[in-house]
Parts: sequence; structure tokens; C-alpha cells
Amino acid sequence: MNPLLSVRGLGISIGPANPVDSVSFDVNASEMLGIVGESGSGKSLTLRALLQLLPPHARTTGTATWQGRDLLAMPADDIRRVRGREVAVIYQEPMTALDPVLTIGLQITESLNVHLGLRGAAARVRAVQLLDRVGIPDAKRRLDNYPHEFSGGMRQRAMIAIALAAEPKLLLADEPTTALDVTIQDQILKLLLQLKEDLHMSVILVTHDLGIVAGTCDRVAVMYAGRIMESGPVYSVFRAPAHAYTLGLMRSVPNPAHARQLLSGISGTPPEPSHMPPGCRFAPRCGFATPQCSEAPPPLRECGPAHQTACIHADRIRQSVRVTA
Amino acid sequence: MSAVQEVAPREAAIAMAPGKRAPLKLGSSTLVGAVILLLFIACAAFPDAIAPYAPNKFDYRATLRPPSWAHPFGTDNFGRDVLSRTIWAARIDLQIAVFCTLFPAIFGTFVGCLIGYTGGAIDSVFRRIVDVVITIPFLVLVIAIVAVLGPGLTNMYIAVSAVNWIVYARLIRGEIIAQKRRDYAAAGQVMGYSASRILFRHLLPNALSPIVVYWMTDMALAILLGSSLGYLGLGAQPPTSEWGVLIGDAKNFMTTAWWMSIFPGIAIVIAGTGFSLLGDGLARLVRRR
Repeated sequence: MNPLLSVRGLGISIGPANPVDSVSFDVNASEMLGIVGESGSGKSLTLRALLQLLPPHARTTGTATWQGRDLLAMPADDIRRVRGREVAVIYQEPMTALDPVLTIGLQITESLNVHLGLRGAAARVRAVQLLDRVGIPDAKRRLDNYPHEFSGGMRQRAMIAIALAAEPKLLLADEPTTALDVTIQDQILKLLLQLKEDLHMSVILVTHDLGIVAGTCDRVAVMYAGRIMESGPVYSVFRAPAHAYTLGLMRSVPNPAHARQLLSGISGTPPEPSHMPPGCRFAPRCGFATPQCSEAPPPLRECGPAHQTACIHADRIRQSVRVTA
Repeated sequence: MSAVQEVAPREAAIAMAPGKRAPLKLGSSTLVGAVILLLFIACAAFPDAIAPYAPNKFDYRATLRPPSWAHPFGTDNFGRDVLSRTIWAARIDLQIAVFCTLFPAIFGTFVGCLIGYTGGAIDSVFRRIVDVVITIPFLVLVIAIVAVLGPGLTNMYIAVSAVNWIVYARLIRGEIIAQKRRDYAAAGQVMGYSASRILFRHLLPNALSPIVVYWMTDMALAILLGSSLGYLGLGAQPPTSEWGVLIGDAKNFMTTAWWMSIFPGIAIVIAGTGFSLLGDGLARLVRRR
């Protein structure tokens, strides 16, 4: 089966810096792909590049094939028709992403009007259904509320309702739960999973939270300094990480079973986008690094079923996991 | 339909109960402003019902009479009733307040929106124009334009409008620039909305409140400007009743018939105060949101 979206060799350069470099991944129909990485790893930039939402001075290379067309090379009018209709986005900031002077209902019907041509009573009926669908109680009355009358979780639900208005095939979720507290976070993620199943929609979930990925995604791509370090099915990547960075990330997450444990973390800081290391970009911070790592950027290679890594020492890393476990 | 019916009780409890909005408290000063303006609007709408005499009825047997029961504001050198003229003048002066500001507010807002949203070279050119215009005193510029076009109300409207829109455009430009950086503007773009939809349906309503507040102040300024030009003989032309014209007519009788100039002057002050109070109240209301 052909993937829904196929990104090949995506690179982003902003002036002399190239914060994203040769990123490739596929998204299949009805699949939830997680992209994890720390701040500045280029995960949000990658997402924005797909809909040509980068600032004008940013340059992109590579292709992103969607329905037989390259999203990155589409003329402005065409990409605008893709935005919101075929590919929708939800954001980290539900507090500010809604227009404060329009009611929630007007903002949903606006999306219905622009994308589906629905107006008047028909649009209102559909808007009630959408709010209902995203789990907002008493949807009919809530339609006439302003965003400031909604709590954070409800605003994110409303954002999702607006995004779903045009029945997109792909939803880009850029840290959708970061600004919410943990219980609401869980509800929103469950909602996304449910919607993915019901509407046969694919989701790219960008997050820095490994726990979220483990709990919701089918596949995961780990990004560091603008490159994909490792990608594969969630169970495989988490059970047998094949990249030193993935391992480091997993060891940075506190384990609730052990109180007052020492977190290993990853020493050092990510490289400046304008001064990337020549070989593996993680090598300067890597405990497994050898001189060979700094020679040339290691390509992604298979290291298991549908599991790819960009680490040349994958075997040694897997061994160390087995030893410590 | 297998909708997610997972009701979020905690969230619902946190959110404000729908339908209940905090009552709007405008304050007594705003109320005073509104009452003052309503009085003037009543004078402007029905001057013949309110004024005791016709504004231009000469009475040569009663010239330059001081205030009395028959003529509470006195009479002028032609025996015209100053009270009636002041009331009739409200019609012209409110007209000045509206006509001097309506076009600038609408046109300036429109242009300012486009400039603020587009930015870049257009914005740079606009900022230079603003710099030039604001270095020239407003009154001097308007007088210069009226001098070229010729005196009269219509030419005064044209002159003021030609200059005044810049103030509105500058105001809304800054607001739009601030609003377009906010997330909901980016969200509109992500939703595939057109630039004009984002600008006029989303950014403009969010940026509009300072314009409305300034508009009130500007109407007070317009009355002052209109009466200044009327006084100088460049605005409304005698025998039209207009507060500036009335004061202008009175200037030869300042020492002998103070009532001719004082009462129209008080009318200007009160009307200006009315607009200012209302503008302040609106500003407070807007800030609280």
C-alpha cells in the first residue's frame, strides 16, 4: 500500500544554518506517527515545512509527496487549499490560537463554510455535532460561548473540532497537550486516538514526551539536531533502542517505580544549527562514540523489521541495554 | 455514531457557566457624557422645537440686549436670539464632528489594515509619509488646504479628511502588527483561510477598540477645529449658525456684549467634554476586557 504522505530528503536552511537535514519518513493511512526530540531538534520546523508555513527566508529542499503531488513545490494557491481541508493542524497553545472576539460556534462554522461550503442552519447543526464529537458537554449552548469562557482543555477540544470540520485525511498535532495539565492531557490524547480510529485519519504527533508516544503512537521517529536518528514501530524502538540518543532520552525519563533515583540525562548541549558536527550530529555527546562516528553522516539503515537507525554502533548499544536490564 | 462522549466534568466545572456574563459597569462619568451628547443630539435634531426664536430672525428694536427672561443668552447686534443660534449651531457642529471624522476613520482603518498586514516596503513608505505629515501642525495644514480650495464647510471636510485619515491608519497599523503575531492569526493561515479573511474577519475586530475610543476624542477635536475655522472665516459661512462663527461675529463686541461670545464658547466646552467623557468610558470598558 502506498503511504499517505511520503517525505524524502527534507532539508530546511535558514541563512547559513540548516536546522533540518535530509529527513525522510512515511505516514500510512490511519496511522499515528510520533516525532520526538528535544527543543530545537527541528521537529516543529519539519511539520511547518510540510504546509509551507516557514518564514519566507527559510529554504526547503527534498520532496513531500501527498496524493501524487509535492507539497513543498506547490504554488501558494494550491497549498492554501490543502491547508485545513486535507491536512489540518492543531497547536500547542489552545489558549491563544482561538480568535478572542468570535464565538466558538462562529469559528467552527467559518471553517465549515470555507472548506465545505456549508452555511446557516446546516453549518450550525454540523458544528454542534463536531463539538459533541470532541466531548464538549451541552454542545448546543456552548456554541455561543467565547473562547475566554472555555477552560484550557475545552479550548483544545474546540481547536480539534475546528480542525476536524473539513474532515482532513491527516492531522498534524504540534505538542497538542504540552500546555495542559496531566489529566486533561490524557483525555485529549484518548480523544485523538478515538478520532483517528473513527475517522480513518492519520496523525503526526510531535512531542518531547516519550511517555505520550509510547501510549498513543503506532510508529515513532526520533529526531536530534535536525536529523532522524532512529525510526520504527513503537514497541520495537522502546524495547530495543538501536541509537545512543534514543537510549539517552529513555534514561532521562524518571521511573515512578524508583523514588529519588539519579537521572542519567545526556551531558552537553545540542549543537548550534550553524555549526553542526561533520559526522553523526550526536557524536560529541555520545558515550559510545568512536573516531569513525565523526567521519561522515551515517545513513539510516535497517536494524530490524521496519526499524531503522542512523547509529553505526547499534549492536553495541543493544548489548549494553541487555547487560544493564 | 460512536462519538467520544467522554464528558469532562472537571473541565466543565472550571469553565464559566455559559450565558452568564459580568454586567457592564460604565461609571457615572460615562453616563454624564452620554446625557450631554444626547442633549446636543436633541438640539441638532429638533432645533425648531427647542429654540424659542428662528436663528436668523432680525429684531432691530432689541439689539445687543443682555441676558433676560425673553432672551436668556441675550441678543446680538442684529437682535438675533443668541440661545436660538447656539441651539441651531449644534446641528452644524455635530455634523462637523461626524463628517470630519467618518471618512478618515473608515478610510484610515482600511489603509492601516492593509499596511500593517502587508508590512515591508509599503510600510516603510507609509512611515515616511506619516513622519512628514505629523511634523506640520494640523491646523496649519488644514488652513493651507482650505486656502487653496476656498472657504466653506464642504471644503473644510475635504481638507480635514485629506489629513486626518493618517492618524487612524497609523493607529490601526500598530494594532494589526501586534495582532498578526498572535497565534490565532497563524492558526487562520494554517486553516487555509485567505489573507483578506484573516485580516478583516479576525485581525480587524481584535484591533478595532482603540480606533473607536480615539474616534470619540477625535469628534471633540473636530468640533474645536471646525469652530476655529468658523471663527477665522474659513469654515461655516455666516449667517449659518455655528459656534465658531457666532464667536467670530461677537469679536467686535467682546467688551460691550460678552454674552455673544461666552455662551457659544460654553457650548463648545460642554460638547467637547461630553465626547471626552464618553471616550474615556469606552476606553475603560475596552481595557477591562
